[in-house]
Amino acid sequence: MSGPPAADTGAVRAGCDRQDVNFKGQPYIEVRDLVFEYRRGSDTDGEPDVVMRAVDGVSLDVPRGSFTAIIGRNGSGKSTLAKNVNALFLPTSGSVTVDGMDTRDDAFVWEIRRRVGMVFQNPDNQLVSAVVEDDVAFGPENLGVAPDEIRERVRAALIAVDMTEQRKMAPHLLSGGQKQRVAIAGVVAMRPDAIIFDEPTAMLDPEGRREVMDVIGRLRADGVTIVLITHFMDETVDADRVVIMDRGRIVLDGTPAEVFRRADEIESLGLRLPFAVELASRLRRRGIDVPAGLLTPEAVAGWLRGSAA
Amino acid sequence: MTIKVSGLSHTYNAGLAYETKAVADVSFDVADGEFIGIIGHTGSGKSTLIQHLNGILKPDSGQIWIDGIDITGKGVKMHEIRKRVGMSFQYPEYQLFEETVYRDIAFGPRNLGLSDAEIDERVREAMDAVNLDFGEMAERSPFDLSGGQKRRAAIAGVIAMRPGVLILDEPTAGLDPKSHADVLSMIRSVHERMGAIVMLVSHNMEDIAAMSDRVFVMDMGRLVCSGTPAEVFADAEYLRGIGLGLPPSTEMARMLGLAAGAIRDMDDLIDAISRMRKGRDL
Amino acid sequence: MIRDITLGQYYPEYSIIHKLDPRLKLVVTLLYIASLFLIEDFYGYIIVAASIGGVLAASRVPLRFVVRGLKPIMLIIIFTFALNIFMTRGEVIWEYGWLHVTWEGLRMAFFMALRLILLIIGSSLLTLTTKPMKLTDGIESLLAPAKRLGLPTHELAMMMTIALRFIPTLLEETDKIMKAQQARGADFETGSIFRRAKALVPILIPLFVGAFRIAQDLAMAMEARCYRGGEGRTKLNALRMKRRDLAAAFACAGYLAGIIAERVLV
Repeated sequence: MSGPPAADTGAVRAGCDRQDVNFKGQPYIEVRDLVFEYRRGSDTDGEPDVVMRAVDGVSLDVPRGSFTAIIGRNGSGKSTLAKNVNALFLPTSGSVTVDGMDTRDDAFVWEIRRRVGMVFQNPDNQLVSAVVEDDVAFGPENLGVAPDEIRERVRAALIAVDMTEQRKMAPHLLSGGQKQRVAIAGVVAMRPDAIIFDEPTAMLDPEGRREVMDVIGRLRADGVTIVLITHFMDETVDADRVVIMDRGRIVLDGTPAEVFRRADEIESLGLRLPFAVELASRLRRRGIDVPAGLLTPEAVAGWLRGSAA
Repeated sequence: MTIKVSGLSHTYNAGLAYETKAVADVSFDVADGEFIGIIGHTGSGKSTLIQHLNGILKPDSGQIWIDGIDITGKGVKMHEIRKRVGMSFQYPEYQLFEETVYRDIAFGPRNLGLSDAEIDERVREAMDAVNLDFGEMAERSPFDLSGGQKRRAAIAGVIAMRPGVLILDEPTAGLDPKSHADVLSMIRSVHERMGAIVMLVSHNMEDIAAMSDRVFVMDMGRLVCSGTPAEVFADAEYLRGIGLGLPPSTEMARMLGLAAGAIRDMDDLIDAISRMRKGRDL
Repeated sequence: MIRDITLGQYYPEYSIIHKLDPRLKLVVTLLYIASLFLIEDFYGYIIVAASIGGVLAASRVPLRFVVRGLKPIMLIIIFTFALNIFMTRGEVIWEYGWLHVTWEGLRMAFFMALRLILLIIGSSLLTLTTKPMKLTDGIESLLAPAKRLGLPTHELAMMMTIALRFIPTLLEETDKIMKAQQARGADFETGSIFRRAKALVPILIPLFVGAFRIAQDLAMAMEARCYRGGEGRTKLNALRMKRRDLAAAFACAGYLAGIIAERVLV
C-alpha cells in the first residue's frame, strides 16, 4: 500500500513496557526500525522503479522460548517481516539480529537460517523430494550432517510430527495437513531454536488445521521459540503475545487479553476478533457484564454458568 | 430452475485394486432459488458430486435433471448445461489467463456465442455483482490484482454466464477476514439479485449455518443427511463421528445447555443467552 | 493412455533386482541395450530373451505389467516392421504393384521388432525396479567424474529430483484448470486443429503462471532450509556397493561373454 499513513501512526503498546515480563534476558530475535522495500523495474518504458514499502519501521523483540502471534490483513507486511528474520530478505534500512547475529553479515546467513526455521503457507510448494523421509533429510543434508546422524534426526523429526508411518510415501498422496507436518519435520530435523510459521493453516481443512496447531503446541512445550503468522484469530488466544500489523507497521502489541480488549480498533483494521472475545463484547453491549480477558469459549461459558448460579 | 438427482454413483479407477466409490447412490431435489450448503470431511465426495452437476464428470449410474433436462442423457449439448450451471472451483483465481479483467470475465459469455453488446452488458453486470469497479478494474491485468480481488474477478467470470445454478467450491479458502466477508456478502447478493440456486461447499460451518436454507451432509460418498441448519446441527455427536464440527455459536450453545440446533449464529446465541439469564433472574 | 506408460513407472516390490545399486543397474542397462545391436541371428535372441526373462522373474514384476508398457509403442513397432518388410532388397516372395516382400525383409522386420520389444522391456525393467530418487542418485554419482569437466552434475540431479516431485502436482493442476475452463464453456475437443490449438491458451497460461509460482515458493523454501548447491552436502542414503552387486556384475559379464561368443563362434 502506498500513500500517507493513517492518522493514528505509531505502535500503540497496549500494555506499556510489559515486554519480557515473563521472559527475562537478551531477546532471541531483535528487529530494530526495520524498513523493507520491494523494487520492481517498470516494464513499459524508462520510468523509475516502482517502490513498495512493505515494512515501514518495525521494532520487535522476540524472547527465547516465547510464542508470538502476528496478525494482519493480506499486504500488511507480516510475511515480509518474517522473511527478514531468517535472512531470506535483507533490510532496506534498520536491522534484524538473531541471537546477536546480524542478518546483513554474510558470515552468519546459514547459521541464522539453521537456527530460525520457516514453514510456509502452501503445503505443496515447499517439499523438495518425492519421498517423505528424503524430504525431511533435505535440510540436514544441506548442513553437511553425517549420514548416520541424519537418519537419527529424520526418525526423531517424523515422530515429533507423527508421520512415521508415511515416511516412504510420495507427498502428493498425502492430505494437506500431513504435507504441512512433513514440512515442519523438515525444519525440526535442522534442530532450530525458533520456527516461523507463515500462515501454515490457511490452505488446510479444519482437521489439517487442528493437526498442525497440535504440532505447534508440542514444539512450544519443547521450548522452541514460535512466531505464528495467521488469519485465524482463535489460533492466537494462547500465545504469549499478539502483534497486529497494518500497512507495514505494528499497530497493537501485547498479551492476547490486552490486545483483544481493543475490539473496535481491531475491527476497523478489517480483522475479526476471536469468537469468544467477540461474543463477550457483544454480550456486554446487551448489559451482561462478562469480564474482559476471557479468550476462549470455555472461559466465557464457565463465567456465564458461574455468574448465573 | 430446479435440480433433481437420482441414484447418482461414481467410482474412480473402476476395476483396479485401488478403486474408490467417490459418490454412491446419491439422490436429492433442489427447489428454485434455494441456497444449499454442502458439508463433509475432505474426501467425502463433495467435489466429485458437484462436478457431475455441470457435466464435467459423467456418472457410472444415475440421472441428473437440470430444469427438467436430463443432462446424463445422450445427445445433450454440453453447451446447454454449462449455460445453466456455473461452477467456481477451489482457488478459482488460478484459472485467470487473459490480458485484462474485462476479457477474462468475457471468456465464458464469448464461449456461449453471444454478441459483443450482450457480452459487454454481462461483464458490467458481473463486475458490479462482485463489487469490482468497472472504470477502475476492467482494463487492468488480472495478475496485478490483490488476492481477494482476483478471487472475485474469477467468480465474476462464472456469474457472467448468468447461470440458474451457481456452484461454489470453498470460495473463501485462504482469504483474510476482510476478503472472506466480502466474498460472502457478494454470494448473498448474487443469490438475491439473480434468484439463482446457490450450492456452497465449505468447511466453514459458521458460513454454512448462516447462509443455507438446507444443508447436505456427505460421508464416504453418500448423502447421509439433509435438512435445515437447525436440524442438521442438532445432532452434534453424529457430525463429530464423521469428522465434522459445529458452527462456533452452536457449539457454545451446547456448552451452555441451550437448544443447540436452533442457534445458527452469534445473534441467535446472544438472544438465547439473554433470555436464559432473564429466566433465571425472575 | 497415460496410465499405460510403464516406462518411468516404479513397481514396488522387495526383490533382489530392486535392491541392487542403481549405478550398477544403469550401467548394466546400457550394456544390455548395446548387446541388442551386437546380435544378428536367432541364437543370439535366445540368449537375450532367456537372460531378460530370468531378470524379469527375479524382479517379481508381473509380466502383464511389462507387456502393458509395450502398448503405447505398438504403433512404432508396427511401423518399423512394415518399413523393414517392404524396404529390404533381396529374394522376392510376394509382390503387388510397387510393393514387394523379400525373405531378407521378413527376417529383418522380425528381428527389428523383436529388438525393439526387448529394448523396451529391458529399459522399463530399470525404472520398474528402481525408485526415481535412487535413479537420480545413481545418475549423479555416475556422472561425478564429469563434474571436473565443468558439467553441473549436482544441479542436473537436483533438477530431476524436483521434476519427479512436481510432475504429479502439475498434472493435477492441469486437470483442475481444464475443468475450470470447461465450466466456462471452453471446448477442447471439436473444431479445426487451429481452433483446438487456440483453445489451449486458457490452459497453458494459468499452467505456466502456476509453475512459476511453484518455482518461486520452492526456491524460497529451499533457501530457508539452507540449500546452497552441492558443495558440502551429505546424503541420507549414500550409495554403497554390496556383495550382491558384485554378484550381479559377474552375471552381467557372463551374459556379455555369451553374446560375444555366440557372435564370433556361431
